[in-house]
Amino acid sequence: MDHLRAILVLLHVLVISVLSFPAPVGMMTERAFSHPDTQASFQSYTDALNAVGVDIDKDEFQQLLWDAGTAFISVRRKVVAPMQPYVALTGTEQGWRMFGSVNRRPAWLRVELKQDGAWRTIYEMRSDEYTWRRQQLDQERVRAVVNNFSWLHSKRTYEDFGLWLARRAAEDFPDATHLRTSMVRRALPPPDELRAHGMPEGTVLWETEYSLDKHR
Amino acid sequence: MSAARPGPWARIVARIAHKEPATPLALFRIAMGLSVLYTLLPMLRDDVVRLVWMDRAYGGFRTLTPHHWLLDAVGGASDASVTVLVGAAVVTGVLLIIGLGGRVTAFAALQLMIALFEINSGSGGGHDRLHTNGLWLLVLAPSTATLSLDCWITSKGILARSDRKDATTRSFLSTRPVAAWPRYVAVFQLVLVYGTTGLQKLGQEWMPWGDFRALYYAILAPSWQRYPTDWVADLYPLTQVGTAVTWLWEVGAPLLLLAFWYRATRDRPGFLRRLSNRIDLRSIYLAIGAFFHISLWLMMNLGPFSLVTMSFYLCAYHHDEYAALWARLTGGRARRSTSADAQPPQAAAD
Repeated sequence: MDHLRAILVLLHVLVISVLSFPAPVGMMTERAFSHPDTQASFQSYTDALNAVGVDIDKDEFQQLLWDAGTAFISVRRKVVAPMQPYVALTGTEQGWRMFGSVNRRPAWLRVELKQDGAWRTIYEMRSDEYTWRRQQLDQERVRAVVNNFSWLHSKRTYEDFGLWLARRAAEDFPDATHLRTSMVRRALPPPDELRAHGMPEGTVLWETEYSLDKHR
Repeated sequence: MSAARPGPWARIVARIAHKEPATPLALFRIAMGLSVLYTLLPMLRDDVVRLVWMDRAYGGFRTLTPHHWLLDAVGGASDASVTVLVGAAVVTGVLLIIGLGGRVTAFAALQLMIALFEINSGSGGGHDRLHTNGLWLLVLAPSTATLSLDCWITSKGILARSDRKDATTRSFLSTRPVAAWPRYVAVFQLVLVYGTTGLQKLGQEWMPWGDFRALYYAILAPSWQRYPTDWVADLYPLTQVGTAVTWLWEVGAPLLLLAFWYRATRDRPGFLRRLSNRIDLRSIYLAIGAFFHISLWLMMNLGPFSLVTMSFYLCAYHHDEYAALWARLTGGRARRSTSADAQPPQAAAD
């Protein structure tokens, strides 16, 4: 019995170790590789390698990572396949990549409302001024949803979310006609610029308008 | 003539068969129960369950087609089924805290939380996986052997069969030895979490050539801010130090395993072993972690992340250490493990 228990415990340890092993799961896409922050990281690594005498340019470095990453993912997929039923039943999924890369050009969700022919902002992420449904929209699980949009990922989900906001606005503002959502992207400034000028205005992206009449 | 030293496999088997009082596992169970409640109750308070876990047809924001046997059984991400699952999960959280139902409660909590987290994975994070991993360990561990209603209920039966005069006295506490290995696996899980997240912090902002700006940017980014953070510009050098220390501390997670190894082999020679045990490297490592988690909790809204992660910390200490701490706090005598624990002296506090 002791031996069987030891084997089972070690199998569990093996499964969580293999699944935890760093792997670029979900990152081996052209979209992820071409993200400006990722490109900046590639350039910084290339510069660092060049500084210690390794002759490689950014494109070669990127190709090297792509080839190694796709090969590794392919092998990993085969290794973890037999583990999946155990993992699914026991909730022992791993994958710990917290703040692996930091968003240096995040986008803020902004919600505007059209009333009496004029637009006004009713919600903006982390704003103390525009606070419509703040308790709901600032809850941690909603933050996780909106965090994807902050990276400008998941546009279809963003539009679904906008539609939900439109339905709630139709209930909360009976005389409003339209709702508009957008993501305002700002490059996070270095400390001296932040002290001198505060946060930049930002660029409005993903602007989407919803008529509220159809939700009443 | 001395007996031959057992081989590596025999030593592994003996270590995994080792038993000790269940106090650390019971504390872990209570903390996990609190974390389950800390996950669900704010969602109920803020009316977020419907928004993220119910299908669009029931007031959610998107069409949801989750695949889990429990969701299939109750009818998917509908109003009624999600309400039932969340309600049942809250009940299991309470039962974990009071220690009623043993492994059955832990298994129910596990399956409920897997089902709920499965509904809309885009609304979760690493803390969801930490919950399910921790709950699975509680399924495997007899964590209600002490500090529990289960203990109180069963203690009368145990005492009635003994010769003790106080056989009618019930107790919430017991030093009955149980399997220690779930505690070891919990610590190993913690090392995996920290070590592998550190190894995957590859963005240039974590590196010297990125000017160690990761924490500065993370604090400024809007997704998780708890309060406005423009002040961070004035603390920029501190954030750089914090970035470097965070990365080194995370990739240094295997030191925690080394500290445990040194504690378990404290009778062997070696300067590093003596030093590690004298300064209690394990507690230093965990104290740094606690500082980071509390700082994160103060500055960022990451839900139950800090709570569920630090729940695993409770498994880093032996029953005797908790007993000694309790005795210090109350001025009483420590209720140390008995000879029935059958553990070698060097393992008593590993």
